[in-house]
Amino acid sequence: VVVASLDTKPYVQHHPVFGYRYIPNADILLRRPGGGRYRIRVNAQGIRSDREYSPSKPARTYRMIVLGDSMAAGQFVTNACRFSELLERRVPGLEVVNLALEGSGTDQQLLLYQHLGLTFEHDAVLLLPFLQNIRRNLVDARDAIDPRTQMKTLRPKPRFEVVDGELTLKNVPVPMDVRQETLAGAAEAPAPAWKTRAANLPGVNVWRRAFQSVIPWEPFPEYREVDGAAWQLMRAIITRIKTLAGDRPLVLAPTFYANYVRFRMARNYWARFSSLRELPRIHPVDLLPYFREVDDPEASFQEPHDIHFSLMGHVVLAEALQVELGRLGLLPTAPAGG
Amino acid sequence: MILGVAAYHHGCGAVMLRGGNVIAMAEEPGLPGERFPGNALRECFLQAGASPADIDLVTFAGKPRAEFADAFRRAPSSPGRFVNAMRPWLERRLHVVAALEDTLGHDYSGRCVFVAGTGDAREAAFTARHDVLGFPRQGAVVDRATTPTPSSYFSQSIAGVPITAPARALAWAAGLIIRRAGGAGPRRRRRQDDTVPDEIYTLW
Repeated sequence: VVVASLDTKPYVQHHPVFGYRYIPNADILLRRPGGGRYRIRVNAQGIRSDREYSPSKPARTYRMIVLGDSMAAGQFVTNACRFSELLERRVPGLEVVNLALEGSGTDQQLLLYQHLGLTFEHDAVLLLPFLQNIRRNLVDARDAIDPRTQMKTLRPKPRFEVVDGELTLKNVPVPMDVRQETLAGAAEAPAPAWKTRAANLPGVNVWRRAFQSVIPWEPFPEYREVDGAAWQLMRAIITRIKTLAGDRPLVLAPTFYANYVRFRMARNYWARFSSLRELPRIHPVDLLPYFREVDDPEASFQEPHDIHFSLMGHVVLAEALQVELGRLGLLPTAPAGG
Repeated sequence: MILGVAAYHHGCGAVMLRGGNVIAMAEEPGLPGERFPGNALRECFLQAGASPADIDLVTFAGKPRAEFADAFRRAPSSPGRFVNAMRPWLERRLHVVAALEDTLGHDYSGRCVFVAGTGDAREAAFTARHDVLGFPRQGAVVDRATTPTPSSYFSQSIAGVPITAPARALAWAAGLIIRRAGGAGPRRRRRQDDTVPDEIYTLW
């Protein structure tokens, strides 16, 4: 339904710890849903970027490590148009190392930070958990499409469990290849096409808006329960990232999809993430008001036929982060403009 | 790739930038009346050997909604003059994105910004490249005391010039009457899958 055939990820390869990673030095022109092309370039270090990063940061530079999934990695957007590059260009003296990996869970992001992020001298960590990540953390593999065969397959991943209050790493080394029938509970059931058609019928949005203004819809009930296993795992992973970051601040900016902007949705996720404020030097940041402010069909912050941020979405994201990071005193200089 | 467009009361031309360089430019001169630069756009795509799907950002000279709000406030009070003053807005100027979509077809995926205070398509494109995308100053960038926030270039957010609810309602009603009466003006195309069910986002 969401142009899955476009999402074969021919630019990733197996990795024994992360599950998979970007192929170093990959430079590929890819199709974008809704038309057009975008270019992915990966540096020699396996980071999606047009340039290499030195282990020690350049003089008079504030360096920030970004962790996240495809929303932060800029899927379907050229490197130069991602929020990380936009932020760098807008804030003099800021260097953003974007380690976000498409399709990853927060668990993989923790491992990326531990094994790759910490090799770079940096001043702050920015984690952008997509709401769905709370479910990705629970599984050993995720549905994927093999770029060679175009067949549906499973892409294995590492997974953490909370055992006696401690995070324990499982499924590492991550197996190279897993047959679909060997893993249960990881299969995706696409939304029926009739639901998409029904959602676009005239007047449906008006009724939906009216109904949800009374009863907000919660697509991720895992965020309801403070003591639920899914949230406890997410919380433990974030706490581990903070422990690894040491004294550096950790900014948490949950990302969402367009329905959160257009309709009244339950905000249990924000209650959970903002509760982490009680931990030292963790700064939750709410991005939703920024997107609501500019919601407009002409601004189109979401790619058509897809859930990811468009160029406009990255512009809004960069602006929101510039304001919020500036408010927290986590930018090297005053914002370049407004 | 950035496409700059000047239409109706802002001119009639188009320009295309790639990597900060002008790779195509066309203008439609000399005809009376306000026009949308459909031919200039097609000429630009021919010159650049590009398709609408290649466009990352469309920049318009001027900010129609803000200008409409201003024109509405200054409109004469006599009914006849009021209608005459509002007519070009309701027939054409407020529908510049729809006109663009009609020209570019289905491959265009809707990323527009509106650059107030610019004189032509070239200036709009270079200014948006600097102000919205954060690239260094290059070409004809409009000088401003402070760089506005990128989102202030979106049509919804109109810094300093709020469109009041009555003005919106009046514009909508008047636009509807003009359309029903056979008035000109393209309709915005509704994109498929504008709204999709939550299940799509909540897959494992």
